[in-house]
Amino acid sequence: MNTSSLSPKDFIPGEDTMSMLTEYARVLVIGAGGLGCEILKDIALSGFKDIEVIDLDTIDITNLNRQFLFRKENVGEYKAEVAARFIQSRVLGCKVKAHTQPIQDFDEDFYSSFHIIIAGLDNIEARRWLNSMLHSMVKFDENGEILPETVRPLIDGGTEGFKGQARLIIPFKTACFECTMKMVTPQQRFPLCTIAETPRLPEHCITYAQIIEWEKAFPEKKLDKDSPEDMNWVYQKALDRANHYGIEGVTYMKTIGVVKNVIPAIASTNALISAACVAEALKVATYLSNPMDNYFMYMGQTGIHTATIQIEKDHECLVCSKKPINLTVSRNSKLREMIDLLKENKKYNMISPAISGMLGPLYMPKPPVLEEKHRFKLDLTFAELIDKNYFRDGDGLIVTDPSFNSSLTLIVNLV
Amino acid sequence: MATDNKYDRQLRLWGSEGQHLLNTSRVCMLGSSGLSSESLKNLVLPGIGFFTIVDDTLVTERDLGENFFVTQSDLGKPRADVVKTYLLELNPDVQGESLIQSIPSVLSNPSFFQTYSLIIACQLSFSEIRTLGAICEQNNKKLIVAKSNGLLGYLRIYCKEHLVIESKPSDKEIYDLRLYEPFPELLAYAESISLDGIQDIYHSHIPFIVLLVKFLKEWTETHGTKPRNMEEKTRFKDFVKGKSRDFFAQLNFQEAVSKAYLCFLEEKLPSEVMDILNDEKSVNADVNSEDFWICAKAVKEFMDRNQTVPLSGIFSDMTSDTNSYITLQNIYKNRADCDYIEVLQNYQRIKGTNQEPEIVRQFCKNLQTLEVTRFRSLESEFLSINAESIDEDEFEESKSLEWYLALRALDWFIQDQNREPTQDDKETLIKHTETLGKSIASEIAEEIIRFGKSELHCISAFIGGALSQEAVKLITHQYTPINNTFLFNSVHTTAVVLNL
Repeated sequence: MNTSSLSPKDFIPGEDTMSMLTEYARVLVIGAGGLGCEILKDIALSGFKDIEVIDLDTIDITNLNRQFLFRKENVGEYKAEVAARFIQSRVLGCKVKAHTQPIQDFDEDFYSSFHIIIAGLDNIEARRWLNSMLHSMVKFDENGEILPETVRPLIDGGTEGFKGQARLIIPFKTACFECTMKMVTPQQRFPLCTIAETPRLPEHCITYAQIIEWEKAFPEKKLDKDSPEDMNWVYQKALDRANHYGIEGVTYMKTIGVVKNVIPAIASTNALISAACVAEALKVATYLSNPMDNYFMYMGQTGIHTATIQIEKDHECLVCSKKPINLTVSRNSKLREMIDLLKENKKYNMISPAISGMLGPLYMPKPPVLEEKHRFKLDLTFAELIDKNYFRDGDGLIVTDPSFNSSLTLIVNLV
Repeated sequence: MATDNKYDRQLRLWGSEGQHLLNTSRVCMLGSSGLSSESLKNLVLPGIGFFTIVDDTLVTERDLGENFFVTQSDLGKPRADVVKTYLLELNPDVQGESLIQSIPSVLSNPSFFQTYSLIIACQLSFSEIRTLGAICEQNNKKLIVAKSNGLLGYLRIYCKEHLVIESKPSDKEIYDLRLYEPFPELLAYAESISLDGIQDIYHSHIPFIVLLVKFLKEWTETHGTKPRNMEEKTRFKDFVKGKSRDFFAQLNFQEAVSKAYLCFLEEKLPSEVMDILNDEKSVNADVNSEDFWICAKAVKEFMDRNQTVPLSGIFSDMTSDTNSYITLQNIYKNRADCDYIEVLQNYQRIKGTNQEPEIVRQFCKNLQTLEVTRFRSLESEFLSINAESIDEDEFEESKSLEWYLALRALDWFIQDQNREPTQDDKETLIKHTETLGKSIASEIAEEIIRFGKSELHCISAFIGGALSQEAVKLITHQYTPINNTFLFNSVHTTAVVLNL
């Protein structure tokens, strides 16, 4: 293709662009599932030759309706390995290296060795961590200007049924994943009193069997959601309960759906969202045209509705605002209340924060030995913490949480 | 593994009925480039029954960078055959064949298409598309046409009429509770429940339906009429609120206030659904008609006789104790069953049968969201673009129309001159789009010339994804297909639907 008035000014068509693509750009694909398989195919056919892929999952039979690099005989093998092998055999000269560890096992040097990172993940936690990692890699000069060579763009795709979205995150330039955490709809949970006392839906009976009855029958054993025996047990208990109340609709399929929180997934949606992601990768790598700014969504259930929107940065974002968290806390409130706030408030959404101050750790959620040692402080008020010299008014606190790859600063304003 | 069903993740969308229709479908694919194989891949994976790929093109170097279903060792072989072989590896449930024949020669024999439930045409020339469009119009066939050029791609659907019972709208919750005019069993149940002197815990678990039926009756008796205007409606809500013991703690009363609007709605069907019931095909339905239209007539007869709509039986969750919920659910279910039986009897009389096909029940249940879509034919679009449908003020739409016309002009040019245009041909392309109804901007013409016939894999993969979603909708008769053209523009990462 030739240059045009609509492509960015520094687009240089021809051989240079192609060789930059094929020899220079290293691409990391995260996830080798529904999106990952498609992304790997698209990226390989777009001329990228130096590719690595991370996925710790193994192949399940329910993957086969869309994860087209896998066959029935691959069930049980690592997704990343089978996918890498297939792409290399199909696309000549393309090198794909597979990793089967969690993404959190890789360090800054690893992520920095790629030019573009494309993620096809199925969970929020991994996305948050990755987003935080790519931001923490960015260095600034003495004037506070970003050093461009330390910036790695992230292209993130996601699907559910006929819907999906693709977005481009350029650390500190565009809105980041954390900026939009407030938009994430939390998984539907039924109140405990409903499932225990006033069940009405098959879902209520299934959740009761899964949480309450399993715990009662097997206090020592964790429910294995992939075991047909365990799932059958839950199904039978749910069915008994439903029959007792006259509730219809408990089936084995519904039981799996509720217990595993199954999200419907189809080949077509994965194909188009992956393609939108790779089109962006191609534009970022070659200046073929302007990259999108910065979020594309597709809804295919009722006709087709799409939107390309520029998501704004959250100026108090935990990851990209570079501002500390500011909390106003009463002297008479307990440490536990502040930790609950960090976990439950949509703005923070932390999983299990660990907190330390200038005078040492305030609370450590793990390992169990340390947790036990610091647990008593949870029920102390800030006034008591100051009294006992565990905390000094005005000190910044350091918070670490599995959602982020680096620590955050927390300023407590006592009132 | 908790299940051994490889279709588990999609059955949760279209169910076993949808899957059965997919499994028994026959798809004809014209063309075997990347766009064809991407589209077909997404149909083989979920399990269509059978496909034929028609093309006599041979695999070249160029295909290796565009088409995932050819390899180096296939150079020189018939591409349709190679693609078919690799696609069949994806799903042993699917049968497929290749027909190594030129597309024009297949088009010269319209009866070839007779056995297919869906025809898909990718990267065909302008005159081929025109011929195929005419064949599908004459033979009442469903057709999707698609193209991928440079950073642009589109798909276009044609079928005379597409009928959908389960449109499964994602954006609206459907209520069919008859609060405006409660049926006798509902009224009797609501009246049997007393709110006075019961413990708080019971008071907080009375379903909002019962609350609203009782309070609306009380209000009507006091005021002599139902709430009619804004002011009365607001006062009714306050009245409901005033009946609570502790509004902020009583979820059922909060639900009653937020759903109070349902008391003000007369039981009516949306006008689009009434249009379906009053359609000529419904009015004239007889033993030879399609089941859909017989159902429509059967429902219309029910409505004429009962002066109301058959109850759907749709019932969602609400704050309630188990017993009241189940009792209420059964009251709705039994009533919906009675209405269904009457519709079924009408159906059986019109059809001259005593069978009870599932479609009648589905039809009653989904009455509020039925859809009939009639598509503009390709031929009428080629004669004149449906310009009124384009909102010139909608920047995205009007710009997208220009891009679409640019693609049409490109097709026309290649056919007319038997070569790809260069930047010197810019004015010729712009002039041609004027004859199509709208002149395109100069930079769009430049860009389209830059694209030429190049096919980028990720654009084909995108269009192939959108195409296969639409194909699944057409085959399963679930969800709503676009009417009628979808255009993806990766220059600006935008996409629109145009009714051309």
